[in-house]
Amino acid sequence: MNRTREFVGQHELMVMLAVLRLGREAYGVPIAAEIAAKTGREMLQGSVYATLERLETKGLVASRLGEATAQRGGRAKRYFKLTAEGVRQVREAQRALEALWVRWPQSEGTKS
Amino acid sequence: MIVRQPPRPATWLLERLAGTPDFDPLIGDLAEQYAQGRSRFWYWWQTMGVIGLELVRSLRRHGLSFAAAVLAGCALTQLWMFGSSYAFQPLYANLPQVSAHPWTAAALLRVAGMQLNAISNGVLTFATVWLVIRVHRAHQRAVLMVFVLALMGPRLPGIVRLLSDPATDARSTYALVRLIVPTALQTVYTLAEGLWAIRAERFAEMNRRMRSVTLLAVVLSVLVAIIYHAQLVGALPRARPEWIVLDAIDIAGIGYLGYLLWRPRSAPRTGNAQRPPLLWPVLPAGENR
Repeated sequence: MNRTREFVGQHELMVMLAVLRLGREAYGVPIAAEIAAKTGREMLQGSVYATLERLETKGLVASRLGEATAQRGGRAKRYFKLTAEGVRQVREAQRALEALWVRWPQSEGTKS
Repeated sequence: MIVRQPPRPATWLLERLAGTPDFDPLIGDLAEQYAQGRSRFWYWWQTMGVIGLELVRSLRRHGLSFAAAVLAGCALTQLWMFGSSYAFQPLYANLPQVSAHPWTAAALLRVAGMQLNAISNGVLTFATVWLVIRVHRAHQRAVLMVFVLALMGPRLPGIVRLLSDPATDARSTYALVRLIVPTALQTVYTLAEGLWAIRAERFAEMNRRMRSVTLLAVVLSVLVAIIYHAQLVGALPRARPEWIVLDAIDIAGIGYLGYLLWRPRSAPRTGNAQRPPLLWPVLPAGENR
C-alpha cells in the first residue's frame, strides 16, 4: 500500500511497547498498568483505547475479543497485538530516537 | 464470590453516551479495576474521561454533519408546521358554534380532518427525524436527542418562568399544564418516531408480551387523539381532569415505546464469533522481547 509515512506519537509508541511487552496478555487493564508502572504516568483507560483504535486503523495493531468474566460484568476482554508493520514501526522509532539521542549527555554537560 | 459492582449511573451513562458495542471491553476493563479496589471517584473520573474523549472525537470527525442535521431538521419542522397550521386552520375556526350541533356531518367531518392533521403531523415528524438521522449517520441517537432539545429549547424559558410562580396561583398551574403537555407530547412523539426510524428491527426482537403492550400503546394513542378531537367539536363532554388523564395515557404509552426502542440491545458478551480469531503469535516468540 502506498501511503504517506507518519511518525508514531509518544502515546502511540508507549502503548505499542506495552502491548509488545505483555504479549498474549495485552488487553486494556494490563496495558494501562504497564504504562503506569514503567513511566509513572497514569493514562485514562479511554485514552488507552482511543490510542489503540487509532493504531488499529493505521494497521499497526490488531485485536480480538476474548473471554468474559463476572468481575467484568460479563463483558469480554479485547486483546491486542502488534502487526508485523507495527513491530517494524516500533523498531524504526527506536532507531530514530537512538540516533537522535547519541551524545546527548556529553553535549548537555559540556555546553553550559 | 461477591463481585463489587461499579456505580450503576456511571455505567448507564457509558452504555448510552459512549454509544456502540465496541465500548463493551472498555466498560469491562473499568468494572474489572473497580472490582479490584479502585474508588468510586476513580470510576466516575474514568467515565467522564471516556465520554469527553468520545465527544471530542465525534465533533472532530462529524461536527459539520451533526450541526447540518440539527439545523436541517429544525428548518424543515418550522416549514411543515407553518404549512400544516395554514392548511388545517379552517378546521379549528368557529368551534364554539360547531359544538352547538356536534353530531352534524360537518362537525364529524371536522373530527376526521383533525385526525388527518394529527396523522400528517406524525408522518411529517417521521420524515424530519429520518432526514436528521440520515444527514448524520455516525451518532444517530445523539443527533436525535440534540434535535429534540433544539426543538423544545425555545419553550423551556416559559416553563421555567411559570414554575417559578407561586404554586398557589391556579392560573399559573393551568398555564403550566397547557404548556408542558404539548411540549412533553411533541418530545416523546419525536423521540419515539426517531428511535423507530433508527431501530425498527427492534420490534421484531421483542417478545410477544412486549409487542402486545407496544401495539396497545399505539392504539391508545390513536384513540386518545380521536377522543380529544371529538371533545373539541363538542361530540364528547370536555372537562379538565379528563384532558389530563388522556394526555397522561398518551405520554405514558408513547414514552414506553420510546423506552423499549432506546434500551441497549442484549448483544452477546463475547465476540469471538463476530471477529475472525487472529493467528497467535504472528511474530516469532523472540520478537516480543
